[in-house]
Parts: sequence; structure tokens; C-alpha cells
Amino acid sequence: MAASKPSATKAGHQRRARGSLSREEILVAARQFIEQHGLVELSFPRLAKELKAAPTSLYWYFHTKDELLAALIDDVTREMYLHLEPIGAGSWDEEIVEYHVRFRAVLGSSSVYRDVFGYRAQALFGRSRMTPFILRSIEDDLALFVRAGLSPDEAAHVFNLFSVYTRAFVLVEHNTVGEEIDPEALDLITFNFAKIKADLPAARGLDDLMQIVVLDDERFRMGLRFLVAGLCQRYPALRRAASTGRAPAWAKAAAR
Amino acid sequence: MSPRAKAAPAPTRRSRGSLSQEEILAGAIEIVERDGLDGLSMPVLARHLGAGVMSLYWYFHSKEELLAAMAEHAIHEVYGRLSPPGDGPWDEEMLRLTAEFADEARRNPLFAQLCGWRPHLLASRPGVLRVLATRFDQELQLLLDGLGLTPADAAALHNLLYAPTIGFVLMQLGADGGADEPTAAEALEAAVERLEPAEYPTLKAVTDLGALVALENETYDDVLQLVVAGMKAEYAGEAKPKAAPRSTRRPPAGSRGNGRRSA
Repeated sequence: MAASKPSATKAGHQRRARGSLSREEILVAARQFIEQHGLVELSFPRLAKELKAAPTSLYWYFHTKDELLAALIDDVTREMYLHLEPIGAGSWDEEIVEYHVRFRAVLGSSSVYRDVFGYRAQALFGRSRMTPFILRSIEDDLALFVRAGLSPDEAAHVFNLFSVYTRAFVLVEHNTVGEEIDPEALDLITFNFAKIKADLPAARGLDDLMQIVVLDDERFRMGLRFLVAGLCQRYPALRRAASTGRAPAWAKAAAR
Repeated sequence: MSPRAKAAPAPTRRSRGSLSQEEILAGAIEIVERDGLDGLSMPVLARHLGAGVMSLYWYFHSKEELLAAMAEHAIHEVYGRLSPPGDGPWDEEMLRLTAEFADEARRNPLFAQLCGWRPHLLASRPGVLRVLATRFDQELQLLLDGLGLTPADAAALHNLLYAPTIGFVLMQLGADGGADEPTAAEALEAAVERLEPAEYPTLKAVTDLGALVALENETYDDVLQLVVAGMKAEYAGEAKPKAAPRSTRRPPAGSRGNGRRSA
């Protein structure tokens, strides 16, 4: 990570003039870089290379990588919360499920979102100008649980469980970091699985291997409903406040 | 393109005979544990081992092939340590097994990353597939026996327990910021400190703000506890609905019960 290539200093004549670079251009390039290589890989030297500029010319706009990240996270969270309809006034179970369904959809739309919310939560509360908006959204979530009968501290814990579940689900759902899984590899697995299927008393009843690994909207909702049902058992107040009185939300959904 | 032909003209720093497959694997694991899966490339590995790139291709034709070998190594290590499913109630067993799995994934970041990002590599070799499938089958049986579901629905529940588990471990492994960076809890506390109580009454009333962003092992244990309790309530509780949310509830004729454990 540390060793800088000696050739980097010789590349001066290929660089662009400092004036030709803009703050916006750097941010756009940083987004593209993260989409391709992930947030951890982002560094000024590598970003400068993408922009065909000198690393020092980036420092002209952003003094540190943290400053660049803060600007980037401002953009990312602004977009995200624009697309993320806030929690409504309905019953807690329906609101929390629908909110996280929307949250999952937004996270699914960009790997930059997933990188930030999956791995860099601290940056959301740090220097971002969007922090008040993020906190507003958390306040709404917490108030929902408090209205349903939890204490603020219980609400904080339960909020985090939904958040953790959603982010963890989405990270695995979009697991190939921009790369499609090779269909040949899947064929090979299916082929090899067929050969040992007879030795698997339970799994041989599966007609499609994808049933084991598929993650989609339906399964995501299913998991959320389990969480809701589990919470209804733990907290009588939540059970009473759930959408259908005593029966939790999933019972209603199942009856449709 | 035979590896032999590719390797021959390459000037190597060490003699080819001095490099072993085990040594290459060990070196690759070191790199992944230090820089993650994305940090691994054949040139990086060659430099790490002080060998020529071409001499690596002698053993592994591609990075994918190297990764498959690493996956095999990781799986034998992890699954060799996991305890087998016991005879307890399905919910207690599944909680114990997923928690154990999460611990192993934390101890073995390479395994966690492969699970999350290259799942197909884990199963690409027949020997490994058998290890994975046998384990999966035992756990599926637990769910089948415990909840009386179709294999497809039991597989869905199994996936709902394991997929977020892997995602959570990846979050934990990736969450380390720089040493001088405030933690999420510290940053949140400082941010809430600046808020107006009148506008954010609930946040201001939370005494342990760290609970909002906690990524402790216990945090996820509680997610699993609740999800499993929810499964139990939905499929085995008093208010058990006739139909699960999925439309295909009914097992195909003859599929139920043909997989009873013989023991």
C-alpha cells in the first residue's frame, strides 16, 4: 500500500493543468471509482491517476481523504433521503416493514450507498451536512416505537436490529461487487449437486438449487415479518399496538 | 495455453522447485487477511512470495482457480471445527449453529469474504460441495422436522438465517475506521449533543446512543433470536396461519416425510 511507484514522478508531462479540474469532476470520479473498486480502495494517488491529474491538485480541492469522503457522503445521503420516503403515521409494524423495504431498494440501487451505510456508519454522523436529516429520520423511527409503547432505550435497540438486518441482507444480496456470477460456474455446481443429491435426505426434495440461495424482495419481507413477530412476543406493548390488534402483521398478509 | 509453456521463459527470482502449492496458498491467505479479497492478484502474490508471476501460473492457471483452492482450504478448516447439529429443539439448534458459524467466519475473514462475494467458488469443487451440502442437508432436516415445511420453504428459512449472518460479519470486519477516527457511537453522541431537545425529543431521551449503531456480536445474536422466535410463532405457534406468505405452501405429493432422519 505504501510504496509509491517511481514512475509516478516522471509522468508530469501527461498531467492536466490544475485549472482544468473541478470539485464536481473529482466527486464524480470518486463515485465511479467506488462503484468499480469499493470504498476501501479509494486513495488520492489512485483517484488522481483516474483523472490523469497530479495527486497534489486534488489536495487543492480537498485537504484530506476524509474531507473528500465527507463531501461524497453529503451527495450520497442527500440522494438517498430524497428517494427514501420517511416513516408514516400508521401502525408500527406496517410502517417499519415498508420503511425498510424502501431502504433496501435505495441501498440496492448503488454500491456506493451500500459501502457507506454498510461500512462507514461513523461518517454519517461526523462532518456531513446531511447529519441533521439522517438524525431526523432516526428520530421518526424511534418515535414510532415509543408511540407503540417502548422506552426510548428499547426503541434505540430495536431500531438498530432492523437497520442491521436490512444492511446485512443487502450486502449479501449484492454480493458479487459488480461482477455477475459466471453461469458456467452455476451449471457446474448444479451438475455436481445432482450427483450427490441421493445422499441428501432433506435437500433432495429441492427441485431448484437457487431456492437455497435466492435473496429477493419477497424473502426480505419474510425476514422482516419474522422480526416483527419475534418483537410482538417479546414486547406485549408492540403486540397490542400491531396493525391488527392482537394478530401480528404477517397473519394479515398471509390471509390475503 | 499450457502453463508449462507460459512458465518456461519467465525469469524467476527463486527456483521453481522451491515453491510449493501450500506455500502459495499460505501467501495468498496472508494477503487476503491483510488487504481483503480485492487486494489479491497474481502479481501481488508473486511479489509477496519473492517469486515470478509465471511460476504461480504453473500451479494455478488463473486467480479464480487460486481462489477456488483457497475456498477449499477455508471450508475444510471452518467446517472441520463446526460442531454437528444435535437432537435439541430446532430453534435452539439453529441459534447455536448460526452463532457458531458467525464466530468461525469472524475468525476466518477469507471464508467470510468468499461466502459473501464469491459464493459460487465455495461450491465449485465436488469434494467441497459435498461438505457444504451434507451440512446444509442436516440443518434443512432440523427445519423440516421442527416446522413441517416443504423443502423449498425450509430452504428459504435457512437462507434467511445464514445470508444476513454473513452480511453482518462482513459489516463487522469492514467497519474498522482509521485509528484516529471517531467510532460511530462517538460521532453519533457528538451529533446528538448539538440537537435541540424540542425537535428531537426521542433521540435526546435515549441514554445509550451506542445502541443505535452497535455492531457487537450480541447485536446480531438478538436479531437471530427474534427472527427464530418469529419463525416459531408463524409456523408453530397458536396463531399459526394456514398459509405462509409464499404461495407454494403445499408439498408435492410424496415429498413430505420421505426425508426422515434414519437415526
